[in-house]
Amino acid sequence: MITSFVRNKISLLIYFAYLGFFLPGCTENLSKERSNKDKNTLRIAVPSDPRSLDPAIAYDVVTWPLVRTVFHGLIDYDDELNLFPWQAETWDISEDGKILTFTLRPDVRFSNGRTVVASDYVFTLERILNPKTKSPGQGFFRNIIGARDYQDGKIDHVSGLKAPDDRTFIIELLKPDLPFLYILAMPFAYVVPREEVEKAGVDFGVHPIGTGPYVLADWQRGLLLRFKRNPDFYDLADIKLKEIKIMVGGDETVHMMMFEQGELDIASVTSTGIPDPDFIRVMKNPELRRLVETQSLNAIFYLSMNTEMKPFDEVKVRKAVNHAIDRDRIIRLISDRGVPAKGVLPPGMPGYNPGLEGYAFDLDKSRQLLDEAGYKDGFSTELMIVAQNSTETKIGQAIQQDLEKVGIKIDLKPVTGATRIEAMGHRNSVAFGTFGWYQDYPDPSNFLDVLLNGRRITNVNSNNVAFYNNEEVNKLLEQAAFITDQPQRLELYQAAEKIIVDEAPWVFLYHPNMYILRQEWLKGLKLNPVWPLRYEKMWVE
Amino acid sequence: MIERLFQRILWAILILWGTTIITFLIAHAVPADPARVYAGANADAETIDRIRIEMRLDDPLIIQYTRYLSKLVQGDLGTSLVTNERVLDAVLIRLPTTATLCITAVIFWLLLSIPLGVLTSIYKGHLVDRTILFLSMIAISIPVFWLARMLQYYLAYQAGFFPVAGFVNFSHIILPAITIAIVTTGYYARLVHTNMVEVLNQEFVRVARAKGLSEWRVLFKHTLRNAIIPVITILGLDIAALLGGVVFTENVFALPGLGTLALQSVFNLDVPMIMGVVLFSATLVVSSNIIIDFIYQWIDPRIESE
Repeated sequence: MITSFVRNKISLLIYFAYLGFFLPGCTENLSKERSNKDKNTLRIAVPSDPRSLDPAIAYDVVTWPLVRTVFHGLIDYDDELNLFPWQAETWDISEDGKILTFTLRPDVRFSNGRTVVASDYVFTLERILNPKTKSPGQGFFRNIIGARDYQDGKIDHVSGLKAPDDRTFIIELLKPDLPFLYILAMPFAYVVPREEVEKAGVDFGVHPIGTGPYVLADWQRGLLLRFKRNPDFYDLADIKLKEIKIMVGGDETVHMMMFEQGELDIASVTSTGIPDPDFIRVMKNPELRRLVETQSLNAIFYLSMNTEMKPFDEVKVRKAVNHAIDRDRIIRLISDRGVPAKGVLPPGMPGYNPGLEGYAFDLDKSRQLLDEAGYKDGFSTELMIVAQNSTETKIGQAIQQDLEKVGIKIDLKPVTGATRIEAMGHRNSVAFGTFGWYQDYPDPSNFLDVLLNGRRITNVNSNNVAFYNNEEVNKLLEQAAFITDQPQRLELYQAAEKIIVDEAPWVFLYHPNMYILRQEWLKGLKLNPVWPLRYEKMWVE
Repeated sequence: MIERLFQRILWAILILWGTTIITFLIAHAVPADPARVYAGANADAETIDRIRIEMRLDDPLIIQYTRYLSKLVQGDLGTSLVTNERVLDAVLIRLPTTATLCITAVIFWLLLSIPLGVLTSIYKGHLVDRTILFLSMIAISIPVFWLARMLQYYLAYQAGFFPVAGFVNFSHIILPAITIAIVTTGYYARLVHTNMVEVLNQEFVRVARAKGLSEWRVLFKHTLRNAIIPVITILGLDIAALLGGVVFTENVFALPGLGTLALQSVFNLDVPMIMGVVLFSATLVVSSNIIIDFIYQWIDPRIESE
């Protein structure tokens, strides 16, 4: 009944439909040239739009290197991690450690052309403390005299911030605080111009004006950011890249593909660098392997045992868990992308104690400790892990298998990252969970004091997720906080760490490494644990 | 007609209002604190508390909801808790990308599924029909994010026919649109097939053939026109499903559209943005249903009287 004519016509139609399907792909002439055509441009990709480029708001490892291209502050780290005066000419700390005086360079200008004066720094720090700014960094600056009263709305200005003349900036602290200099080196304290902040309002993060070597030229949400050289920058001779171009969107797998097609200069700029599924392939390929740069991060990944909850309120149980876990296997599971942790402080941190012995993998000892603690037949508990993170799932399963051998039965409880941090910071809610910490600044207080000082425990949103409270440790930490002699401080921190390791509120797992895969033509990557990526120091050749 | 339109719009408003309540409750039922997410992993408890107060998240839910609703009726979708972007602006900036993707995908899948449906109805029961049925079943069962990744890897990364990801020009839309089209074509090809077979068996088709009309005219003028009506209805309803598929596809291909925005807002627990995107999508679905309803009538005037 159906004529062949119709059959032909229909097949022709389908043929055209298929042609329409592929034709545009064929006409698109994609250049597969594996080089950076514009030698003065750095091309990288980030998974999503930065929340804001406002230095008071930005607070993550992907955005900070971008903030640093637009903004600069009083002090910074050199390649050996010593502090040096950046836009301050000199600084001076009073003998009691409570008064910090900075003399500013006279030649520093904002990219709107105006010279930076000391009152700009007063404004900058006051703005961080102003509750309306919603700065996640406000907690670092509460040691300034008058900060709390200002936050509570009792006074109009922070009394401890002073600018007696245009080039002198004075900070008065409530208590002596040696790491406060590190805090001033954090991007929160990078100087911002009052007139531009007031003009832009909440949009300052989209229209940032700073004193750094670059200015934001273009930001198309969800698409790209483009930074251009700041002609007003005082040290322009040192700045080689003309432009930094950032693609927004795509995950690390996509970025890896784009890197291999020569479309990006760095494969992944997230905290650990090369994506997990590609890691072994890259490291086994000599061509790619030689383009990999490594840096051990000042970070730790651990299991927190809530010392207020059964059965982890018993120190022997915590030690038994530490002895039962095969850290070397965990390191192998993460393709050797970290070093086993023997204590709290990472190897790149001042005060790191190479003499700590940690906990050896010893099942007999573990069983014996469990027996002594009254858990001869083991026990059952849940381990909270982050579901989206494939590494955590692998580690969680390894721990499940290890602990099974000593009779501890673990149920994995995968949740989202936001849920975990909320739940674990809540008193008496989570007995056992994975946790990580990435440094804010390279001082032992940022680990020991923040994560393990019993006096810092709060009922909700506690950073001491083990709810570990040892009076002796607390005393050592308070003592160390207020003395200004660095070697003596470090000794006190080491003493505290020793007690902590012995009482084992955590299972110390590993300190992660970062692996950056760059193109042959990208130079000037000097990774360091504080600023792994410094785009402003790179160039293309 | 006017009365009917008025009725439909009233219903639409009720549905959208319900949507705001449900989305708001779900967004707040998540066991995580937006202030904590905003403040970052290292912030202390006092900082989080102060940020929560500034974000006005410490008010009881009912007050927060009333505040939201009273702004909404004035046409204000609010501003993002995280990026300070105005929600409406954020949605409108990303709309063209998503719209281009959706329209391209719909064109691709209609171009594929109608001929396939017609072809299989002609060859009903033959090998051609069964092969296409089998392939359709596979296409229906493929998860869209997996297919997206596979096409991206083989056609873009390996073969270089398409850009891997990102959005510079229209060539970046094609592969994502193909992804969505493949998954949807299977279903639509079957739909067209079933309707065609049903209509082909009706008396008027036999009459048309008896009159000596060409087979081409019989198939496309008489049969397809009648068989396509239910397809158009489903198409209207499928705008919702399409928006769902777009979330994954856009993310895999790094397209700056509504899907990417939706996922990012969920990660950020950015309640106003989540509400904005959901409400916007709901509005699209509801209004497309109304429009389809009227197109339906226009194609087949008998429908109004029913």
